[in-house]
Order: sequence, then C-alpha cells, then structure tokens
Amino acid sequence: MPKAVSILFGALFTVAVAYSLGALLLQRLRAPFRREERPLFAFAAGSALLGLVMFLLASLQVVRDGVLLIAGAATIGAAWKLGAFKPEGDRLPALPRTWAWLYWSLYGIFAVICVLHAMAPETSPDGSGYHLGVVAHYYRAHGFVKLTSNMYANLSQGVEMLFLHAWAFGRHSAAALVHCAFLLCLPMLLLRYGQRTGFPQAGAAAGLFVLLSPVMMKDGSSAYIDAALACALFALFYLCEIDAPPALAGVLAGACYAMKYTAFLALVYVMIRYALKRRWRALAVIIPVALVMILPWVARNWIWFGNPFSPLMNAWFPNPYVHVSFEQDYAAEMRNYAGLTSYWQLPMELTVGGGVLGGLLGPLFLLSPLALLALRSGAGRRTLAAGLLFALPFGLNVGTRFLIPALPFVSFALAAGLPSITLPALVAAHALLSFPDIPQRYCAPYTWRIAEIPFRAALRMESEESWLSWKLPQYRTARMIEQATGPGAVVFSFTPISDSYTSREIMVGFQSARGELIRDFILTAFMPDYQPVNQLEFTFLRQSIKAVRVVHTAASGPADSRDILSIGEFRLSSRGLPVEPSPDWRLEARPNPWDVQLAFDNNPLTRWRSWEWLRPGMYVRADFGHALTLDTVRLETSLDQYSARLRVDGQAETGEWKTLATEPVSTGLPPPLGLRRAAMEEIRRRGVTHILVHEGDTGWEDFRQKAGLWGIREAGAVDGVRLYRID
Amino acid sequence: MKRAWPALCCMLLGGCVKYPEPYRPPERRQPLELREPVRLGHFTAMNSPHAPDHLVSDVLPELHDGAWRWTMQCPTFQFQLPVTRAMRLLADITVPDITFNQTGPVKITVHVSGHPLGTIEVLKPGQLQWEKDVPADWLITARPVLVRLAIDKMWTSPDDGTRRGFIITRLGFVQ
Repeated sequence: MPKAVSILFGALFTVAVAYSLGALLLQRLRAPFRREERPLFAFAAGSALLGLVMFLLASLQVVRDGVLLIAGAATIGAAWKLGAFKPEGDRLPALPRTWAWLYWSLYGIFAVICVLHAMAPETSPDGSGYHLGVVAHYYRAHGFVKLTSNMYANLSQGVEMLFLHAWAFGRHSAAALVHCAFLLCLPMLLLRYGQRTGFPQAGAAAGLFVLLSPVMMKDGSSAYIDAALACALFALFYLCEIDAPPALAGVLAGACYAMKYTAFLALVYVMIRYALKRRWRALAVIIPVALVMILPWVARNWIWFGNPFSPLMNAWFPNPYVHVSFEQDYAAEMRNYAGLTSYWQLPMELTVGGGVLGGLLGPLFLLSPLALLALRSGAGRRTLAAGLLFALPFGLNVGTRFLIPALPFVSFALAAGLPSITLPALVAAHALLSFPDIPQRYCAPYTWRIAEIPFRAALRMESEESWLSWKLPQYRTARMIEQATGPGAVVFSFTPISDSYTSREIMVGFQSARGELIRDFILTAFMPDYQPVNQLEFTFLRQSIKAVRVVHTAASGPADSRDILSIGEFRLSSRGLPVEPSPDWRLEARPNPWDVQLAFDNNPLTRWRSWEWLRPGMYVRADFGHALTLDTVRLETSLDQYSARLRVDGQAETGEWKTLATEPVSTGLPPPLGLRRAAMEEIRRRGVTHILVHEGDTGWEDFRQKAGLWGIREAGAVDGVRLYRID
Repeated sequence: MKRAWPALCCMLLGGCVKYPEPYRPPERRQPLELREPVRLGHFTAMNSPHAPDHLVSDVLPELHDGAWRWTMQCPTFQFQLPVTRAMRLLADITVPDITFNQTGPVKITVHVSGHPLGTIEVLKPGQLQWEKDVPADWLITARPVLVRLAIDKMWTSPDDGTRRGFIITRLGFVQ
C-alpha cells in the first residue's frame, strides 16, 4: 500500500500547491467570486501559475524533491497564513433538491471510478509514451534538457510541468491523478456557471454530460492534457461571462496556449470578447499577462530549436530539428484515420462507434444538433460561439479527443436548449450507457474507454509490475531495454514505445529530423529504391565557372507530388577526369542546408534530401572560391523521386548565373554492396548504440536473418520485439 | 496597419531565421566496395556503358528507350563478384503485351553457375522484379559467374518471322 500513499501524496500535494497559488492570486486581485466558485478558479488559475513556476525551476535545473517540497509547503503555509483559504463571497442560488441528489450521487460514483482509473498504473499510449517520457527525462536531469530526438518535447508543456511536480513524489499515477483533478473540476465549473446564470439544472446536467462521456473519463484519468485544456477554456469563458478581473483572464488565456498550441484560440477569443465591448484598458492588462504565460515556451523553442513554434511551422522557421516533410505528412495523416472512408461516418463514429477515431463521446451526443436550440438566448449564442471556436482544431485532427475542448460548451448549450424536464432522464440514460463496461455492448471492440474499475491495481494490492506486464506489451519492451542496455544507451526504434518506463533515450524514426535521417540510412541499406542506382549526367560546353548549382524545376508530375528531392553524390568532371572537392569550396542547399555535405562525402549510403515535398527552386550548390573549368556534372540519385526534374546552372566569373544543361543522360548504376554494415557504422557515429525492431517493421526479417551483414548482435527479445546492439 | 501587423510579426520572426554558413566539403569516405567504374561488376543496368561487358550470348545489342534490351531464348550474362556471402540475384524484366498476347503466360528458368536457382512465372504482361537468395557455395570471386535465363516460349513476328524472348532492364547480384 505505501506506493498508493505516495501516489496520492504526489497528486494532492501538487493540487494543494496549485490551489494555494491560485487562492493567493484571487485574494490579491480581490476577485468577486461567489463562495462556491472561488476554489474552482483558485485551482484553475493556480495550476497555470504552478506551471510557470515549474518552468522557471526547470530552466534553472533545480527540480529536486527537496526544493519542490519546501517551496510547496511554503506556498501552502503562506496562503494559509494570509487567509487566502478563508471562504468568501455570497452563495450561489441552491440547486433544487432532486437535482442536488442526482448530481452529487452520479458525480461521486463516476469520480471514484475516474480516480481509481487514474491511480492504476499508466497504460495510455501517449501518457506512458511521450507525455511522461519527456517528464521522466526532465526529472532525471533536474530540469529541462534539450531533446533533439523527440519533437513532442518541443511542444508547450504547461500540463507536463504539473506532471513533473507530481512525478517527483508519485510518478506516473500521481501525474494522471493531477489530470483527473481537472476532469473533476470541470463539471463543477459547469454546475456553478449554471447556478450563476440562472440555469442551475442545465449546469448540473451539462456537468454530468461531460463527466460521464466515455472518452472524457478515459482521457481525463490518464496522463493526457485534453481534460485540463477543456477545464481551462471553460474557466476562461466563465470569467469573460462574469466580467472577472482582466488579469485573471490573461493568466488563463496564456495558460491555454501553454497547455497546447492550438489553444492560442483562447487568447483570440478573449481579445474578441473584450474588443467587441471596447474594453481596451482591460485588453491592455490581458495581453501582457497572457504573454507572460506564453513567451517562456516561445523563447525556449526559439533559443534551442531556432523555431519559436517547434515542432510546427518549420517551413516558416527552417531548422535542423524537425523536417518540413514530417509536418506535411503528419498534417495529412491526422485528417485521415485508417477506417474513415467518408466524413459522413463521423457522427456515429464520434458518439457510438469509437473504434476508428480513438474513443466515443457517448450516444447522448447524437442529440448535439439540438444544442442549436440554445441560440434562442444570448447566453446560449455566446456558449455555442465559444464551442465552435474551440472546436476548430478538430479540422486538423479528427480524433475524438480533439473535440474535448468544445465538449463543455456543446453540453451546456444542449442542456440549456432542451426542456428541463427531459434532463434527468437524459442524465440517467447517459450514466447507464457510459458506466464501465456497458459501452462494450454498442461500441467497436477495443475502443479507447474505461473498460473496468481497477480497484486492486489502483491501491497497489496487485503488483504494478505484473499489472503493467499484462496490460501493456510496450511496458515489457521498455523493461527489456532497461535490462539489456547500460546507462547512456541510445536506442533507435521504428515504432514508439512506452518510454516513460525506461531511462534510456529512445529515438523513434519519425519523431525528429535526427531520427528520420537515421531511419533513412537504415532503409537505404536494403531498399533498392532508396539506393544510388541512377546516374544523371549533365554535359555542357567546357567553360570556366566559379560555382555550379543543380535546381529542381517545375515538376512534370502531379502538382501535389509528395516526392522528396535527394542527391546521393554530386560529382564534377572535366574532359573525363574527376574534379575532387577542395577545402576552398563552399556547399549550400535550400531547403535543408544542414545535410548538404552528405551529397559530397563519397558515401553511397548517405544522401542530401530536401525533406520537403518537391517545389520549384530547390537546389544544391557548390561555390569553388575561384574559377574551375568544367564540362560535366554527374548526380548519383535514387529512384524514389519520379517527379524530380533538374537543370544545372553555372556562375560565370562575372557573377552572372546561366543554365548550362537541362536534359541529363540517365544510366543505371549497380546497387552498392556492404551498405548494411555501412549503415550501422554511420548511425553508431551519430550516437545510436542499439536498434529496436518490432515484428512487422520494415525489414524486420532482414535484421533477423542477416545480423552478421549488419554487424549487429541480438541483445534482448520479448513479444516479437528484438533489441540489437551495434557492434 | 492594424491588419498588416500579424503578417509583419511573422516576417520579423522569419527574418530572424538563421541559416548556417555554407559548409566546407566533408571528409571523403572510402566506401566498402570499389565504386570506380569497373568493366565487369556484380550488377548491370542495360543502359550502363559497361553493360555490353556483361552480355555473353542471346542478348540483342540495340538499346531501346535508353533503358532496355531484347533477349532471345537463353540470354546469358557474366558478373564479377567481390564477395560471395549473402548475395541475391535481382532481375528486372518485362514481358510486353505484344509478345504475351501470342505466347500467353511464360516461364523463365534461372541458372547461376549451372545450378537451377528458380523459375520466374509470368502470368500477366508487364514489368516485374524478381529476386532470390543465391547459396554462397555456388559463387566464386576468382572468375566471372554466369547467369542464364531461359524462356520456355518465344514470340514470333507474324510479319517477318522475327523472334524475341523477353525484355531485360537490369540484372545482377545485390545483398
């Protein structure tokens, strides 16, 4: 049982520190809240402040248990001493007795379910993967560490900062419980909003609509961030509705961005609201305060990654850490889930199916169109407008949980728009249809939801190790890596794993520019289309030039070609004799200048790639420093760029550029031998010590059958996953 | 001006993008295998200038479309291998509509150093790539290795009686 105690301590201590900070802020601002509202806003605003404090501590590399304990205790003590915990304010109108009974009994039952689920060992994919994997790295390093192998570490991490605080004392489950605190706060915010605005029954119903939603329960009781964001967004909306102190709105608006980039819409929302009311002086407070919450994340990324909005907007802020093509491919994938053949499937998939989009809202939300009935009132229109705005990111990623930020608004509008006599029945039906595991009777198999109440696992009456080994195959993989490698090992993997359960650096192929380059080396070793088997020879009149460039011209293929331009080797010659590169030369490429040397290293394994879908004007250039006499440019290229069309330009001694050749002669080259070992040598040189291969990964059989050719040795295996050490 | 400020912010931020200075050429690696253009190698594409050195018999010399050649019934090729371990034979061939319409499905048997390696079954016209592992003890490095492909049915031109086997684009040994 002691582990359960540390989990509860980690979570409750974090919540208490957040609450204390918030209470101090509300006291300072003399925020005119009602008695029941004050604790909720103290938690919401205080969480934002605690996230900022943790950012500072992580920047100073002083995230240690003792520091957090002392600082936290001091904060709680200060809040208590200054009377910040004293209940203040008038009471809200009471909830009708029947509703009070209905609300609190259902809230209590489902809250217990969610708390137990949160306390159970973390098995969620993103939670046990990058959310807590990055947190674990920070904790071990006592603060921020520049992780160039994981683009998720570049995102704003306001919630992860709270996870970091909780992790110090209770690890994974404490972090999940902190997220659960937001899940449990949100229905109460909805209830209080309903009471404040004269819609007590609608507020109570809306709170239960949200809490009882299967995807909300699952997400909110895992180490994700969506429920926290929904809570912060609704709290912000609430503040705008009751005309709370602008500084508070600024804190929450900025905190929303700090939680998730797409929630910059929160700042847009609050600016629109205040601008419409011509509250310029309020805006003059809101914007700077919001920027205090936002700019630390922007600055960190700008300084570390050369891109203030990393891992997004890489075309605007080119950098060597995240490829533009990754972002292009990722954006396209997030709008198209496997199994989603038409957007007409969305209503049923989102509400009842859940298998394709990763979760279900619940059958109740088939009634969502009836939320339009709320348009009859001003409050309803404002609620729906906010919901519509915060639902916009769903267009970028159609997974169910990306509708969570809009859920409280739709829920309130639905409850306010329907006749109140219908609400108890709807709540009861929603509760029945969402109770674990009633959804298995109607949703798709393996839909992401709470399928059981893990009482024994939550209280650690069952071993965490055996629970995780049973529930989470990736846990077994992570433990195998931990046992089979030493400290400092860097493991390349084609597929993400639950890396919060290992202390080794896991470099997943698609998660960074570095990872993509490593993956390219490996795939080139055995995939013929990636190998330099095609030579393009450009010949021109022998002449004196001081620089040469190869430029991709307009593609003759489809305008939406997703080919990536690449050059394996860039060779020059005159009268049949090669002109070898000299130290005077200067090499440049656009895009992706950082890899240009790979086209001049005489290594058949490596190649410069544009890492951006083909567009006219991409080039690789060599400046000689002085004039050279040339008549031939030979490019050794791969076959995976059918839409590429190249020309060669030369720069005369006058500085003027002119086209030298446009129609190359193409000849085949023999596929190089020995590439497998060359690939392992190359990636070893770049710091990778091991390779993790899952059955089904590209080339998994090749690794197993030709380990000798690769120069690798099996270091561990579990469940069809093999770990190889690079000799 | 009010409407322009978001774009202006992005331009200002973008103007702060730091591209690296142009790079010097890197250290030139010595590849694991010889990359200088040898006359007889482990693999050839038909459009390689050294392709004719790999042709032993039954391959017509004319290069079509800058990429492929016709064969007769039993084209034979030779290759010089630097190593014998973990080699696969890769053949990039085409049975075009014009011949398939007359012959129907065809079989092409493949021999390496006189040993039967396998059969390429062509059930529909078009291009296909065939690969198979070659036992190391069939191969030697001391002298060229012979690869023979034999098609079971040839096409005969109804106009002038010209006979053809199939189209070859690339052939050789890979790892």
